[in-house]
Amino acid sequence: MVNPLYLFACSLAAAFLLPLVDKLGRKASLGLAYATVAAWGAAALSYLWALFPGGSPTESFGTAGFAAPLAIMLRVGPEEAAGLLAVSAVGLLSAGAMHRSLAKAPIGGAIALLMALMGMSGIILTRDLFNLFVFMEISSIATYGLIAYDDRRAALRAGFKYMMAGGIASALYLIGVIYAYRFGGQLNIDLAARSPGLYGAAGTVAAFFLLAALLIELKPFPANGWAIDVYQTVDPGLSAILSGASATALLLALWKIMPILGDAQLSVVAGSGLATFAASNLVGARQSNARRMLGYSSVAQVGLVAAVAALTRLLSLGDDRFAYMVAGGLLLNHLLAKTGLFLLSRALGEPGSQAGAQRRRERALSPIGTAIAGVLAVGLVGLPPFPGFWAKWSLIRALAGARQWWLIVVILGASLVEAFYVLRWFGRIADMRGEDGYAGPEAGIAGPALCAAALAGFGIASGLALGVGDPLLWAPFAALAALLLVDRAPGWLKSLLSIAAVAAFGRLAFDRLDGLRLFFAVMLLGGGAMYSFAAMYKRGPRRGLHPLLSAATLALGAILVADSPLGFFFAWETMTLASYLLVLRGKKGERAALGYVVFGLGGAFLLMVGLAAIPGAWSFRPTGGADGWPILLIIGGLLVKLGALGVHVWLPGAYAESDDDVSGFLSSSLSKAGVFVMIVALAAFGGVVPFQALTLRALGWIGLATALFGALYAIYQEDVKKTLAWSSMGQIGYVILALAINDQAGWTTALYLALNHFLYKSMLFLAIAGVIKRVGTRNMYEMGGLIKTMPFSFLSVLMAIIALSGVPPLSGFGGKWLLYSSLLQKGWYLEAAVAFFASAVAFLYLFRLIHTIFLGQPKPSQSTVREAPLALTIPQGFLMAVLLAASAFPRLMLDPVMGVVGDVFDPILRFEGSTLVSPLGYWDGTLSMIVTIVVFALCFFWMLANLHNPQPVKQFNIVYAAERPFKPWTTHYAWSFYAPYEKALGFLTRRRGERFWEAFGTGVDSVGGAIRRVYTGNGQTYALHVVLYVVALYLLTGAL
Amino acid sequence: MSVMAFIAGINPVAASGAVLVLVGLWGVLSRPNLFKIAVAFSVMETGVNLVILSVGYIRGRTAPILDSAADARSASARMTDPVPQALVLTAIVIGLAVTALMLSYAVRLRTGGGDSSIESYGEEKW
Amino acid sequence: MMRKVMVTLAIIGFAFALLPLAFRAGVQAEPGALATEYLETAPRELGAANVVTAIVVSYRGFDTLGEVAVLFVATAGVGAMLTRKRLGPAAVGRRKPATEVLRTATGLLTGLIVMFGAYIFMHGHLTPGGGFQGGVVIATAVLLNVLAAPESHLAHGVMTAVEALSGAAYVAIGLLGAFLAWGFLDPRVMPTGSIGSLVSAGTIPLIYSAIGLKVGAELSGIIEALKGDRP
Repeated sequence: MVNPLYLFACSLAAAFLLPLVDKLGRKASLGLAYATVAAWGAAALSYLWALFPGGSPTESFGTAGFAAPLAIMLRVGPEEAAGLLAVSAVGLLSAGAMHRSLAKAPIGGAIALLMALMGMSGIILTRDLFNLFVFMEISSIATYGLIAYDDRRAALRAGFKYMMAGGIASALYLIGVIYAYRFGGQLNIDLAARSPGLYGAAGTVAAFFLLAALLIELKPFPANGWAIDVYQTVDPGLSAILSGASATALLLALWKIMPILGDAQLSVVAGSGLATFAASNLVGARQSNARRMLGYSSVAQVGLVAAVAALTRLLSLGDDRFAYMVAGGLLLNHLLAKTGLFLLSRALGEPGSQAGAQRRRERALSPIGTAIAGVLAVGLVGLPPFPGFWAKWSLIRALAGARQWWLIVVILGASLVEAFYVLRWFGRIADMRGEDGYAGPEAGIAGPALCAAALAGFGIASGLALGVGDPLLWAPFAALAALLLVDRAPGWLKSLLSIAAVAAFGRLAFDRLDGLRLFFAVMLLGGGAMYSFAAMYKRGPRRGLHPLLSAATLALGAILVADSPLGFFFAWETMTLASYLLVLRGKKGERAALGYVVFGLGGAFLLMVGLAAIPGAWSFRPTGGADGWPILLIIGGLLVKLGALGVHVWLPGAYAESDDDVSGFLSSSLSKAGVFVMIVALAAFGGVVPFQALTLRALGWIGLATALFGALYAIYQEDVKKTLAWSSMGQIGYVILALAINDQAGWTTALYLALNHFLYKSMLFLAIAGVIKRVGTRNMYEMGGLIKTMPFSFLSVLMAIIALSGVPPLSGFGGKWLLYSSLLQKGWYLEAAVAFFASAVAFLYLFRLIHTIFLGQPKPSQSTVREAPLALTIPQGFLMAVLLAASAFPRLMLDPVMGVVGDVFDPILRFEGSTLVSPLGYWDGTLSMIVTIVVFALCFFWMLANLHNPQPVKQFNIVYAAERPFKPWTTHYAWSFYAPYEKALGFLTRRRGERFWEAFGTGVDSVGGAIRRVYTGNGQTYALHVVLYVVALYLLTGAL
Repeated sequence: MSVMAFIAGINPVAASGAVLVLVGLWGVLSRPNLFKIAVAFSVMETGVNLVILSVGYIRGRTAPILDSAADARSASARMTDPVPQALVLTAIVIGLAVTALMLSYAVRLRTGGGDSSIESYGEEKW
Repeated sequence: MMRKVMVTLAIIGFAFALLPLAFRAGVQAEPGALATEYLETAPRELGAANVVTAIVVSYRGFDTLGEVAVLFVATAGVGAMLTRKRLGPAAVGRRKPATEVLRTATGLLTGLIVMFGAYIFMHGHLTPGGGFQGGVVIATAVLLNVLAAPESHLAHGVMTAVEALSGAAYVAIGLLGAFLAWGFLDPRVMPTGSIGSLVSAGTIPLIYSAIGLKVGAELSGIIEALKGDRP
């Protein structure tokens, strides 16, 4: 191993000589500085190389030819080596970003950069308390120099505040170190940790002072206003160094002194870290200035890592390996994402210092820049496959194992807030992309790109290290990457590639799909392939669509094949990620996507806690005596995903604002994933749910309410996609209701309804996609009479609404029959009545759908539209055929369903020939098909026979009675179609859910707003916060 | 513990250092003038340095330098603790560096058209 | 008002936290084990009469190297921040010429002060003194000259060269320790000599001389930068 002292000698010699070398030219001097930083990186790599294949765990180096306690010792172990690598990598990336300014500024800038990085490396390596102080001062003083090097006025203001806080921290540290020497007798950390004097009354106080100084340097809430100002105002390259490299070094310093801390002090570290994480994220949500927002996020993440490190020891969550994995994983995630984002924020332009004024000055990013921003933002919030995801999983699992529910609530709650504002920011960036005049990638994009690549690489590595090695689980990302590479290719080619990917996945997964999974694979994978095909209906490459659609489809498949809780959760979050990006791709998808992903993540967090709290979850053999209540969390999480009433507010926006074919995919395929998991979970844990009867009844009512209100909301929409979105919500409500019945009949119903919903909702969305493409609007009152121009779409919609409404002869009737007989069989009479009422309501919007779009009077402007493209009509034709077959021969659909359900429950329903028999009656699909056709034919012929002399009327054979309407569209018959019903039932459709969540959001927001009043901008107040923070901490440790 | 015993137990150097620290801290927290803040930090640092030195002080002993008063053999019996003295040297120099930078910031802020009060540099907030 | 209350509370709280340390810890009766070890080994192994210097330059020489780095980077920062270009011409203003007394005294004293500074850093291993102290004394000579002749300029190039080369010399001597003795910054490259003579304690006097020159040059640089007309 290279003695790190040579690296220090090398850095210092380079720095000392830099002013002389500078006389040869700025290129030479900067080259020397960069080379020195790179040498550190190379050395760090060599350390890692030497340490990992099972070499000596650590190696120590003495200075001046002596050893401890006389001399200062340096130590290289795994965490030191990784830290050094992080510092030099971030340093090089930032130096690359700062290169231009460094070349223009006096040479002092380059010197300060070199010394700051060396100081951080020293913090990481040293094992001596006082030497730690020296290196902390080197890095902070060099940072003060760097803040000023490019002479930004705002940075100078912030820098002075920083110096005040830093000055107080160093005074604290010095007092701590000298008394640690006095009572512990040593300056070497390892020796001091063994000296009993440090654990006496006074020794503890000395250790407290050391700790307080380090904590302040780590920027705890509320004593961190100075740091935020610095992050906001300085060169983004320096922000990256501070947020990435410096935080890493200081966290390692904290880790280093942890052995001399007592339990009370560790609790204080954990508490302060978590408070910082929560409060900073709340305040971060209020920020409009990107860099200030990133600053808050930085502070929050560092707080979390510190808390995790302390909790690991305090609660014995695991050994050092656990700490490396979780705290290290979180830190790595933060480091890479934040470095990349800060560097990227330079490409977004220079925001003004006043909040709110900068939006206009931000520039749109190129597609590549947007993609990189996406990777970094998504990585930051802890979505797969990035390291933060794996670390968070391990953390929550360990905390659940230690039964620390409140900690879980705080961590996940604050994570959700962070996800909200980071993704809001990303959504804004993604929304700014214009279709016109793309430039190539921005200058200086290489740094963020490297960060993104490293983030992905480390994410994959940590996933593999956690044992998620199943290639099928990674298939979504493989498909995403592969299709992104050919993103410039024409759409049809990518569609075919997507379908091929799904087919290959299906082939590989086939052996692992049992009956239930196979059943869902048809809807999930088959649906995905179908929509990939339908995606051809719009010309052009449709950039980004195919990769995401394909990834989402394969993620759905991965959910089916996952065989461990982590594998499942990985697939689940992958699906959330891919579908979020799909929604965001929509034209006005920014807001909808944000709602979608925040609720999606919230649901996922509930699922995660539930899975983590049940030992042996997902093998679904609950170990004896397992608590039942975590299953409630799982059900709750799934209800969010299914859009149950109350947590449905994300649904209409997401389904309506995504691309028209994507909406269909989300509604008909993706929503079934939740149904699948609900079935699996209920099958495994139905027996251990607490208050089983009550819980199931409540679940049933939730489903029922969802069905009713989905239908009620649907009838008043003018926007056809909104109608379909609400309708989807209602139909899924029936599935939930049927599942809650929890016997063979109920589950058969549920699966049957789910499959039906897949069929007819696909037909509806595909047909409507064609209509929207042809007429160019989503408002129903702007359409009409399309039956003549788009007869095939009309037929498709007609069949779909017949199936949906549950009238014979199509399979929907079977579904309704099954539902009512199961409900009555169970004795849920009131539920049956409400369900019937909800079906009646559904008729209203279905009628409107067919009437206002296809019947009535054609618009003159739409008289020449053509039938929908083949890419849409072919799948519709296929679906129609399936629907007809399944209606005429119900056993085609019901046999597999009953086969699946038969494994779980005693039979209630059975088939006799083509007749399905329940204890309450029977249904013969084939017979009813025949009867209906005969009756219909009779009526039809009667009508033909009795229709004499039909007289066509000219369409505009009407007058306005000499009036010119003020708002012409309101005179259209389809405008406000159900106004009378609205008067009668309108009180039911006031959006209470939306209002509740809005109020909740406002509440969270105002908490953030109240907290941020702490940050007055006055450096002296910040210093006062620092002192008060220390005093409070002192009293707290005394009290503990 | 009685008051007398408490007073007798006080290390006078440490106590005066601590008082200086508090005075400096008061200055840092309540004097708005940038230059006075820098000076207050100097006062605080001086206090800290005194505290550091106080730890090495042993009554009735000589400085840790070999001369006629103490030779190599009797060194450990007749000399004070050299470690805090070595540390304080480093602390002093670092304090000097911080003060120099603070003053430069103050000069630069003021020549940039601002005034000397820290209250007028609170543009970044919330 | 609120603010005053909070400040008072903060100070009282801080005093309370300091209580167990600064007021109750008392005075040591005996040096600790580490101190004793230093007192016994420093003269024997390094031949340094001044134990503090032995600690500062060799045992904890790594701290000192860091300390030099701190001063260096502070100087670089100050120099980069306070250039004439950035401060603008207004910052310099008009200066009154110095009085006759000051000018005469400066002429007489400069040489003596520099000599005294050099004496201090060269005898750091024998007497209470050393590189930093000597450097500061030398810088006072520069300060005196700046006061006596406000319009004059330091030979900037020379100062930079002295600073850079003496720093590099310090590192080089340290590296010699790694190659010729037992470790980086080990002063036992040269014979330790007899305690009390000028040529003793290995390379400690050399290191202190390098530090003295460097600190002198750096502090002079800061003084000039604060004057506001550094190019």
